[in-house]
Amino acid sequence: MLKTVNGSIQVLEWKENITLKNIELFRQEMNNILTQDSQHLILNLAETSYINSAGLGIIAESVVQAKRNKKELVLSNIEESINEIFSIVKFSSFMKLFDLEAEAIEYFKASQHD
Amino acid sequence: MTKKLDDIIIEHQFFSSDEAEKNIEGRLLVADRLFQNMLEGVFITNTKGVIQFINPAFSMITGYGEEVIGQNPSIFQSGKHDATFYRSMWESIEQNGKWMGEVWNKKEDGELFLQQTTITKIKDDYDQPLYYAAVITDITERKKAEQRLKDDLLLAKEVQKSALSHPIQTDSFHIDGIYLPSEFLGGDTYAWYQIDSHRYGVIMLDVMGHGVASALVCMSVRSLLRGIINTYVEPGLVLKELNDHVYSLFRDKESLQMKNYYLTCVYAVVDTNKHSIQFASAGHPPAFLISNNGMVRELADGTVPLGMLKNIEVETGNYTYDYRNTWMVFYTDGLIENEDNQIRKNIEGLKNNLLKYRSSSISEMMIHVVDQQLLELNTLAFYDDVTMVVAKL
Repeated sequence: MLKTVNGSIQVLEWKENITLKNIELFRQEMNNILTQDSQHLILNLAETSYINSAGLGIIAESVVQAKRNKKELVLSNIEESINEIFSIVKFSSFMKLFDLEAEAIEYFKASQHD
Repeated sequence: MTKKLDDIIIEHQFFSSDEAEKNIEGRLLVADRLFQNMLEGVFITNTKGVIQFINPAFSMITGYGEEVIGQNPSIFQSGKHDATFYRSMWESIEQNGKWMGEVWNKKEDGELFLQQTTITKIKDDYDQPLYYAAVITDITERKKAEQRLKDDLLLAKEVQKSALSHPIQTDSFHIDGIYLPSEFLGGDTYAWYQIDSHRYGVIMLDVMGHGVASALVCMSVRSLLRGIINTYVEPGLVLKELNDHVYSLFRDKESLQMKNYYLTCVYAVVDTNKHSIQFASAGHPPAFLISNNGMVRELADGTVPLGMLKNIEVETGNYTYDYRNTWMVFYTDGLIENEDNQIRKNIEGLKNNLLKYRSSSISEMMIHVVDQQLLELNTLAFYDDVTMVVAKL
């Protein structure tokens, strides 16, 4: 579900595990958030405790795609099990990860003032 | 004159559940048309097992025509099934009113064929049996195709296995690997090369996903390893070179609806003179350096999985080891993933199992550790390849 916060930040709240069953839907939702006018995008994974390898690939590609379009996609509400996977695949080396959505919003707010 | 079917359906509410509105004439007509035109063969016997009716598809499949009416279906028997088989079939029909299964039968010209069969007991309103109806499909070709595919997969697995490096055993370097492919074709492999008199390059790859495509990507990368490792040696350069290759694979073939492929890998250069290791991982679970005193170092320096980003920065780790008392362990995620998603707990479990069995020879050590670890993971099925490499340094 896509929502707008703080006037211009787009948040995708993904509310389940990312598996073979819903991977195409996840791909569509990510494409959808990338085509929004907003420069500031958040993927909130609050209720996700598993992401398959195709899902990891989509997240990585979306982050790169956003950068290419002068946008930024960050992730928030990462559960412990996901954090372990992200640490193995070193996602923090090329994307911002926040514990809470509010922190991600703060990050974007601060960058707007720059 | 027969009414047009459409008219009957419209006029008489053909499919109505209301008894009064049922149109017997219409239903019989539909049943007959269906019987004559369906692709499945049908034959119907009376309660004594004498064939009463056949449909055109039955003749198409078996070659038998009207001459079988009045005969017993035993004339179709291929001789491939024993009496017990037919007995249990009839028991099922009597008990459940139905039997489904595959039967080898004989065509009119003597050719044997495998038929998918459903036999149903048809009863009257007073629950008395009237007929037995068998609906059959010839699945011989489908079965052959399935078998060919299975044979191909088996062959592909053997090819993958044959690409694995053989053990090396010298005073200063002893290495061996274990590879248990999952039911599906997987994308794990490992290799090692002697670079010069005292250096060895050791690598393990895991192409994300399963199936023929992953296995082919794996073999495509596998074919480059010797050249890349011998040319570039250094982990940073080797991983960058592999990344270029994987990233460009299928990248411009969007029209073929190819998905992008990624692979994780661990690579180490072991120097047996300096007792040092240069290490880098690309999104792969941490490797271990195990000391005889029970200390386990996790090696996790490196970069993201290969094929994800066009340009990667690789962090290389430099380690030294205690000669004759150190084990270097690589493995793939099949050994730490299960439905509980507790990767950290499973990594710790794997370390403990390695410590427990480290006094055995390395081939025994791997067998025990893999057995024990799979038991602890408690996965119902063998979803992923399981691969492990142990080097005694």
